[in-house]
Amino acid sequence: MTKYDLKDDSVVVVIGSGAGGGTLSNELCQKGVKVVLLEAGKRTEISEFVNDEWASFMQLAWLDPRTTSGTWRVAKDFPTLPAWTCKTVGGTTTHWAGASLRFQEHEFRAKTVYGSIAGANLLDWPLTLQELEPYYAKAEDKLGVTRTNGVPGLPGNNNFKVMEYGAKKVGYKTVHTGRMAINSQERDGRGPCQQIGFCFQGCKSGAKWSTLYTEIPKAEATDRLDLRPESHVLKISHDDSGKVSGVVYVDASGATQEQKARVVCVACNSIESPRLLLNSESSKFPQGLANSSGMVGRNYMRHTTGSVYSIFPKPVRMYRGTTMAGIVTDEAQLDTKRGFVGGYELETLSLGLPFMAAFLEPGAWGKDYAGALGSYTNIAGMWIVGEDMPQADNRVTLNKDVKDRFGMPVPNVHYDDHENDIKMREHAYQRGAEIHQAAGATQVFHTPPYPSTHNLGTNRMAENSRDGVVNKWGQSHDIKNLFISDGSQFTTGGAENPTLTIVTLAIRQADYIADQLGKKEI
Amino acid sequence: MLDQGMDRRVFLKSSGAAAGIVILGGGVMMAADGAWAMSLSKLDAKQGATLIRMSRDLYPHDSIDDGPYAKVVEGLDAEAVKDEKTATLLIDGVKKLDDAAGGNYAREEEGKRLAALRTTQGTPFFQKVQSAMISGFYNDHDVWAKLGYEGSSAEKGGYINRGFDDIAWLPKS
Repeated sequence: MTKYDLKDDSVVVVIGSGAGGGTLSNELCQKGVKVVLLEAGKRTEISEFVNDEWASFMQLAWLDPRTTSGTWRVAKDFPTLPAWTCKTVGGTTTHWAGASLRFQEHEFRAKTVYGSIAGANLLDWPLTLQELEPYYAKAEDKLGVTRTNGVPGLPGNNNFKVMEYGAKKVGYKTVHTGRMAINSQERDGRGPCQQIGFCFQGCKSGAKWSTLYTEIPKAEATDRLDLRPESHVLKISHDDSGKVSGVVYVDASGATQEQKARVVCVACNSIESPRLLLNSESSKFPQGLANSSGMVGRNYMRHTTGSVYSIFPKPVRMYRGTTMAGIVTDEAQLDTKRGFVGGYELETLSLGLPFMAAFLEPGAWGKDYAGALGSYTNIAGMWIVGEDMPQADNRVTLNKDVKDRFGMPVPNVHYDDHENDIKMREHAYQRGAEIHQAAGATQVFHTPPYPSTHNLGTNRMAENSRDGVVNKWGQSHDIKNLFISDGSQFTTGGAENPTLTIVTLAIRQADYIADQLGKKEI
Repeated sequence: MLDQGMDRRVFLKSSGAAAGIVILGGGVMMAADGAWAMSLSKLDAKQGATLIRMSRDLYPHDSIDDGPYAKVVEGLDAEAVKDEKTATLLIDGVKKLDDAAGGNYAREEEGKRLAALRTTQGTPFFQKVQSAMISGFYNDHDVWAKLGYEGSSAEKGGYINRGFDDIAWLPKS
């Protein structure tokens, strides 16, 4: 195993080993760059994953203290759990469902296309779909996305068949088993999906792409990666010139260390990334690092979500098979006649009985609720993923009244639904219900949003340094050797699950960093 | 302590459950048909009976006997042994619930019980029992079996050859 000296200031330090950080680390190592990858969680391998919702949640989820505020339903139902992300080598790529969709062309130009929306802090991305297309292609090849590069689609499970039948009956045209980063046939040394049904709990067959067993071992094979699990970063340090110079972290033994660095890349997910920048405040940067715009932590997006679960007269057994291999894309198109801007995807989703009890209608009890859970085998489910509006005051801030075990202020996540979000959710609930009813549903639940898995926007990209934190390469406007490499750099959220775009941006960013290192620009 | 009742037993009629509850004393309660037993250390038998009845009123499943409900109550009792605050929360909460039902919650008919239960809704006591039910009862493998959830599948090879797409009742589209 490669080990770099703590004083080695020629290394690139990447913080976080998920879709952004794990991919970036491998891409850089392949180009000959020395990388120290710091991951707060342990290295838990496939053999240790468990097909058990609560046990897996305790094994993989990020459970450090957090607080919430705002009128969003999550703050009421899960006040200390705003997000369902992971603290483990591989990050949330252990938990993600695998849906891999490109953004649509107009979604990179939200402000231009949607116009001025009161209360929304919309902005166009500083890049276009055309610029990203070659990198999307590389990402799809890396992930083995079905329905791209000749990879066949996954077979449809029972939950999909119900959705497909109902969706076609109500007139939807584009209904299929999705573009999934889950092998439908052997590829890249990993076997095909076994329809296990526990995609969220870490894929036991390895058919689903996760940096844990793709990017990270490939990077290790170059002998250029120094992966340090259980390394929780507290602060990014800088020199007198204002360039970042290293990171301070607590290692697995509990000792505080400082790793020197030539470049620092932050990929801790959209809650921890801004928190780290804010916690890195200094006399030179009293507002936190990279924050001359005041945008660090702002414009937090989480997608407009919700689920439709419906009871049918006969068994569905939705939990059998791939969790999210099913999609209706018709509502994702640009169509402002529906009374809101942006679009949404409808994707199959299932929960096991334990999480169904917790999430179907949080707080509910009594005969009706127990009756619904008693009909568990007859339930089908789908998830709404829609574009939510960035709002300046939806933001991650430091809660200085609550400290974590290292004495650092915890993040507070504030979110208010925008009127556009509410209209979209209502529309999607209605359309989702119609799909299930067309397939014979007798009872429909509009399940409120779960803790967020799509956390976006809190260090957003902007052409102009006044409007955002990073440029089109994810490079800080203020500090040229500091990069953001996760979904927090998204300018807007689109209607698509974000991982493919995070991976795409990481591949592109690796090219840029290698180029800039070569030119001694950073 | 042995409770009063015929033949030193108290049968608590619980709708849906086939078995009554036999309080044996010494904190031990069991199903009249011997299907399950529960041992309490901190809570007494009457408190245990109230909590079982409350748990079932929160999440009633006619197909499930009192066993899995009793397991949740046993878990709460174990927590109360370790933590005095939890003990107080449960004992005071049960008392309020019993009082709201006129003295003995578990012996009242459904309408009166639910009215009493609603008076405690949202209290820390109510939330404690509710959350123990959500995370305990619905995570109980006996409950999974009764409600048809199959649990872990990887060790069985997933469902690729075991019915992931076996739905047969949808009309031909």
